[in-house]
Amino acid sequence: MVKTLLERLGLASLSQAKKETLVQMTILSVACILSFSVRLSSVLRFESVIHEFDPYFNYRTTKQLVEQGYYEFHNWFDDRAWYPLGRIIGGTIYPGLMVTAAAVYNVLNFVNVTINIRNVCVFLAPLFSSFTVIVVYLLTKEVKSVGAGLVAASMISIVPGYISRSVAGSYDNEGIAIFCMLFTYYTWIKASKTGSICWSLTCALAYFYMVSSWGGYVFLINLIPLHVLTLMVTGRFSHRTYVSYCIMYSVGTILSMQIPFVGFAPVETSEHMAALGVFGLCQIYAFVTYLRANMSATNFNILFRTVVTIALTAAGLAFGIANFLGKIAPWTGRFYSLLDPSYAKNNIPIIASVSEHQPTTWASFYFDLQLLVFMFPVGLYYCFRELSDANIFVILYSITSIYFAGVMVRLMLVLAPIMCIMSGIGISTTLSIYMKNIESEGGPAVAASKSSKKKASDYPIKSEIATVIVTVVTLFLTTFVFHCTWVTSEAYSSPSIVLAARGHDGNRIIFDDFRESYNWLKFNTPENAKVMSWWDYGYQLTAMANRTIIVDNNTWNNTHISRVGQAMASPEDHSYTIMKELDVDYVLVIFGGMSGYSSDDINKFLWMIRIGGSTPEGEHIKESDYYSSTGEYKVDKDASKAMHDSLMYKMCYYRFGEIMTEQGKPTGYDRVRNQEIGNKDFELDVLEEAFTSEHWIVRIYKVKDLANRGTT
Amino acid sequence: EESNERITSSGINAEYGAITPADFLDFVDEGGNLIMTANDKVGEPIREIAAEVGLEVDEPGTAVIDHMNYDVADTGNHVLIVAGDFTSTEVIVGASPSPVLFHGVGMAADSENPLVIDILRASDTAYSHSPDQDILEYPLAIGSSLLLVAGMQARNNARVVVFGSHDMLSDKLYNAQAQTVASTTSQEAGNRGFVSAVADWALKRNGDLRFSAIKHNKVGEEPSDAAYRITDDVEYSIIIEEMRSGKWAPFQAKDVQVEFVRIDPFVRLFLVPDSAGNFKVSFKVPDVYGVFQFKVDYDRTGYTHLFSTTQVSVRPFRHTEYERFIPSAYPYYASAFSMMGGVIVFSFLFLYHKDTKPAAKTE
Repeated sequence: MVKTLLERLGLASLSQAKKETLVQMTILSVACILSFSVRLSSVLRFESVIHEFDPYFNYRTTKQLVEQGYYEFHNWFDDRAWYPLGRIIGGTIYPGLMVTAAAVYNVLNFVNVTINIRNVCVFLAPLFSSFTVIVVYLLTKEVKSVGAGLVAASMISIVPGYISRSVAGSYDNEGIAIFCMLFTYYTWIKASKTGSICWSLTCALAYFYMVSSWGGYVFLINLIPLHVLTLMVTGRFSHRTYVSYCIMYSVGTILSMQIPFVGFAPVETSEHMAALGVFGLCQIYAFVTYLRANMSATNFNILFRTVVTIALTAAGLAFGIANFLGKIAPWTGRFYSLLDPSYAKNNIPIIASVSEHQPTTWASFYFDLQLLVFMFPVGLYYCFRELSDANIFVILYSITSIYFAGVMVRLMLVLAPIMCIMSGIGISTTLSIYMKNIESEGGPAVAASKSSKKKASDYPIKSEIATVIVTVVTLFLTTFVFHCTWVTSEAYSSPSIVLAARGHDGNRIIFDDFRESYNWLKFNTPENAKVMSWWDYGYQLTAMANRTIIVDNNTWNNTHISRVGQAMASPEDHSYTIMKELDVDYVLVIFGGMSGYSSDDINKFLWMIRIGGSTPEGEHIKESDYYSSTGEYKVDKDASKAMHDSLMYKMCYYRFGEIMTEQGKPTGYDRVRNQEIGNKDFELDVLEEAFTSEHWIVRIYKVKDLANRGTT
Repeated sequence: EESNERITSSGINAEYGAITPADFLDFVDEGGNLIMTANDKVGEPIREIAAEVGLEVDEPGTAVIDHMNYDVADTGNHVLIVAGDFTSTEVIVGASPSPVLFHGVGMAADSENPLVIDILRASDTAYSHSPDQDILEYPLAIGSSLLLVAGMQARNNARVVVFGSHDMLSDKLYNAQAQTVASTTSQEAGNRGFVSAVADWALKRNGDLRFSAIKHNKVGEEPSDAAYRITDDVEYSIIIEEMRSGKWAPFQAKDVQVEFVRIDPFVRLFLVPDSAGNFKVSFKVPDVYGVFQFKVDYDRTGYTHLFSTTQVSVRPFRHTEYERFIPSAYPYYASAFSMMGGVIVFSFLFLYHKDTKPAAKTE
């Protein structure tokens, strides 16, 4: 049948190699299209909107870039964020994403494809995931074989761990960074295999693109030196590695320093020291090899010992002095929390408060990777079986990334591609071993020649075992596809700016409170009104309501965020002084008690208390004061006085005591906490209610002026 | 534009129709000025309005009694008193007012209200009580905390003045001679001058300030909307005028300050007025970027609270505005160029140098 089809298409006359290429190209294109289309469910279900929080900022900056040009973007000082400190946007972002989107936009418009910038932003991540599919294929092909590459490419196209950050509308750095990272790895493997200057320079350029798009490049610039070091230790270090690493490191570092946000970090901070050290080590290693080749063994040994002793002492001293003088910047908190998961929790509440910085649970490994979790060790085994330079690299990549993914949920994203590559290798190798063992009835000649060749490795019911294994693998692959589609559609396609829930009759209910409220702000408040909210909503507020905000998702200033936390956690009169100090006109809170939306401000309130209390001005705010006498976090009658008096509590539950939320429950019944609120009847002194959205998810208050006639 | 209202203690009672104390308070909140007088028959509405502006008027039937400083014309209850403890604010009471005759109720200021101005205080020996009854309870106020005439300037700059004595404004006391029982000489009572000065102040014929024409620009440039750059030299000017006896005149105070504020003031300078009341100062923007405000916050007793903020952004250097060649970097420039030269020379040598193979090796 296949034959007739081929004949009809006029392809039967093609040679075997050409047919193979055709099949490969077809599989790859299907995988690319699949990876693009599977990410569109959120657009189909909702509309073409930007998702979540950070993407709104990226979208806003991209608009600026498209409208004002690169230099205005580069020098952009944003006076709408972090009032009154402002933020130098050009110097505090990775511009790769915006530049990419703007380039795509300009090219398309140049060829008269009129697409607006929002749609470019929405569809950029799916587009790049298609590119990732190709890169994964190339990378796996380089490491193992074409077959493994095709399996890996098909897997990466639908693996939920990657989809979670690259659905349409999720316009974030990670969307393109995974492509950049894998492309850099691919060029690196090419470079280290061939030792060609051209590939090394390509690798440096790819690295530059990676640096310009994501802070996660630090993983890359540590992994490549680790690879080189491993090659040295295992005695596989060659001229090829030397050439490729030296070129890649020096050119790549110089290029990366052109990104203003990175600046001098590659030569100053501890995260980059490993790369520098390995670069130095390369020179020494090469020099030593040269000397050994030109000297007698005894002379060489004497020289070697002296030099090593002196060098180690000098290096130790230099590092000590530099550290003491503060020349090597202290390791940043995010980095510490990678090495010690409990570090952030104990020391930096602002890092620990972000849910994607939490350690990963076992369940989410299975949820995001499913089959790959089991096939990963198989692939690892096959890689160890035939060690090569490239194999060592992917082994290192998989081992390090599995550790990092365990530390931080967010880094699941880095793990997903290598899981696909390893599983691709595993599945492909397994299948190609057992497929051969299935004896086909129609080809006795082939079977005969094979059996004569492989007599030694023959065993009983060989064909049956092979059939079972192939069937099981096929079954697993099928469930993998179903699982991935289900996860994508259920868990990762929600824009989180528009919420959906199922009503009693199973109908989908859409909560569009966020956009309703941001538009209210946009059309009903003065142009330069200052809005205070918890930092999560900062980016959305500036992008959608176009109002000045106090803090946003770029959590660069602890003190400022802490000040807002203090305002939220303090009683009204104390909050008032803080709000006046910050010139706040409106306060916005997210409240889920009415609708059952659980990631609201009352649930985040503990973090506000912790962050608020983490600076000297907020010393009076103590977490323990906000717990009930039994040490629980509650909002009902048992809640502490500090809780009841706090501005956050009052803003969330103002007039809530009059409302019946659920049948058979008393008034003022909070549907998220499942408690009847403890303080139902109170008035606000320093605020007045300005707006409450349809489902009460967003509540906006106006800060009152001082009483006109004194304190009456 | 300005609306004023005067009411007297007999002025409002239950029959006054639809106007309630709340209407008067709304009137003040909308910017109207209010003068009220009271006496020992003070009614509840007056007391209610007074309470809302931070003054507690003593109960009907009480009077301010001073056994040491009553006027010689007093009829025996020691309630016609000579008072001379004026506020030192010249713009309210005029220059060197002479003691006035007072006969009426006393008031106490609400300690919680920072806006109350003590215009005329009773002497140390005065107290407020019913003249006919024994003193069994502590009086509302005694001594200098007992106010005879008090004012309040609301946050919207509306002014309210309460005279504790209705008679004080009468022709009889305007033309009377004042002589305390202890002194031997008499002088003309200062009521006429004092009352007209206070009324002028209350009706904003005096001590009213207004500003206009706020300008800020880079030195030597026209004002524009563009953000300032750190370390720019800027000029700030504001025209302030003062209402003096009903006419606007240039304000001439030497103590008006402008602040350049980002949460805290980074710069605080005195503004120098010229003869036209144009206050000006120039300074260097601090080396700190952010959203700043030019803030004039001139709050002096008796004057309108002058408050003006102008928001400006201060941006950091653009990428082209940094110094191009830094002297301390010359060693690095030198090393970079010598390196380039070295590479060229080395490559030249490497490419065009041929090793002469030593004969020993070939053997």
